[in-house]
Amino acid sequence: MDIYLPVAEMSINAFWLLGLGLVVGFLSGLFGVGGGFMLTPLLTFMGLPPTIAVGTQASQLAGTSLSGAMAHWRRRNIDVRMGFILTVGSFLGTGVGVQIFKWLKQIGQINLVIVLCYVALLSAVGLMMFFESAPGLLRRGSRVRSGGRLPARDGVVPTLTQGWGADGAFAVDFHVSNLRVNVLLPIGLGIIGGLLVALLGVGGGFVLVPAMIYLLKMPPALVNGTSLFQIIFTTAFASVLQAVSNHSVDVVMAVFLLIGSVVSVPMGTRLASHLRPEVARLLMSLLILAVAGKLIFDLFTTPGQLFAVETRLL
Amino acid sequence: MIRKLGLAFLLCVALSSQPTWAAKKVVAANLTDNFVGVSEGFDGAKLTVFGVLKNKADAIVVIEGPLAEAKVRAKTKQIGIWVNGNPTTIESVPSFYAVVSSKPIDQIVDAKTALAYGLDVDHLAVSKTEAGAGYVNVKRAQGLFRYQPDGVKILESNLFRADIFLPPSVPIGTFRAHIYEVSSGKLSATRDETFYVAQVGMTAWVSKTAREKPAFYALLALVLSLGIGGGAAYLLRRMS
Repeated sequence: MDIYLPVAEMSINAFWLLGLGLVVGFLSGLFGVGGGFMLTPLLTFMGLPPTIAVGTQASQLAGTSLSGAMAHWRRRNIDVRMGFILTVGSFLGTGVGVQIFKWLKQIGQINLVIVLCYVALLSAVGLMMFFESAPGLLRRGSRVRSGGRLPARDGVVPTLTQGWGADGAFAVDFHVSNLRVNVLLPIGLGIIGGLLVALLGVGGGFVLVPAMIYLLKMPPALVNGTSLFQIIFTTAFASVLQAVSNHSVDVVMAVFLLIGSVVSVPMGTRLASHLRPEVARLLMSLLILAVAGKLIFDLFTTPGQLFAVETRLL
Repeated sequence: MIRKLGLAFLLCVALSSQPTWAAKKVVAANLTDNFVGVSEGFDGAKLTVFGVLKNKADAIVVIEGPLAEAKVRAKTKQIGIWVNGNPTTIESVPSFYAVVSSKPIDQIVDAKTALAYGLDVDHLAVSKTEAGAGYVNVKRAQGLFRYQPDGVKILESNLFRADIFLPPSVPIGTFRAHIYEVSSGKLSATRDETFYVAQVGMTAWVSKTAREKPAFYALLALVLSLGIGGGAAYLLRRMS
């Protein structure tokens, strides 16, 4: 059954979109990441223009991250204050990123830049996971998946963890995270996250989560929830900007992807509790490297078309 | 100015010297539809042109989509990677072009006539430049420039019927159908018809809103997205 995408102005098999949503949702439940980093490359393999894939995903990720964040909210795994400060940074990053996106689109290099960024990001993350150079990361992350909970805090906090710049002028206390840190650090991380959303259509969780653990020194149990919480606002903001400046949000595609993914997230989550974390990590790294490999292969092989054409109806 | 006038004059001479055009005979032909609606389940459409020919004549139908401005970038290899080069702009070129005929074009008309009337998709006037040839190649690969030498069926009593496939990615706008009757190598009669391809129903509303009220459109998409995401999370919790 083909479905016509009114903004992309092409038709695509609806079951493919639902299936892609299912796969990505499943992966996201299984590995505890947003899964957006798989979706853009897969959509472009299906023939969608990368610009539409990126813009649409911003919109769709808002829904996916809301459903994920709701589960974390119930377990009180979200540091709201930290989330909002990250959001301040990510709005800046998104605003700048969408303008860069627009500029790259005008000079005809957006598709190449998207692909190159993906290659860099996927290779780095895939290799890192494959060689387990960050061994503690996912083991700790898995505590969140298995429903880890912070000890109840009743009012008095003994001592705050002293993060980067804790004695400087911009130090801010985060009582939920039990942390004092220079506010510029989370804002800076937010900016990076916002750039990723605007340029690549990913939530950026797979970059932000390790950064929040190692640089920000947040308790790992709060990191996934807080990252997702922040991603809701960032992707929401990015989707509005993308639609206004780049006309690259296709609502029909977003809905089909979402329906597929919300169904399969809990299935992935359930399997995650049966799968050994190392196995899951290895599988995911292989998957990421396969996608990166295909992108690299396409960069170097002679394209089927030696011309790129952009038409505007008169 | 004088040079322009001179050019215009030459063009007039060139056109009027086309021997067959002056005949101005009209093919008795028509389209089955003047309107093609693109809606949610659109997976392409078939347009049929039918009519009557002179005895032993052949027919060629050219479908020309709305004009577009095209930016064509040649891909070049830089440090091993294929990169888009600087754009060449073609100011006005059909976004869709289909030629269907009852026999291969080179068996019906000579190359000069084919070029003058744009009957040979592989040798169009636009293809003379490198960018133009690149444009045609890309459009052919996308199925938006098509050539079907057996697309016109000549039935008994000189009735003909041409089926033209409009793919799902067909551009939106006004299309022109040029119908040519060819007998013994000459264009003996012609007819122009117009039809429209437009988005209809919800699809039309969505794309119009996305273009004209992008902020409202984005908010709507967002509400849908958050509604589905939040709703699903709520339902799943209730179920488990």
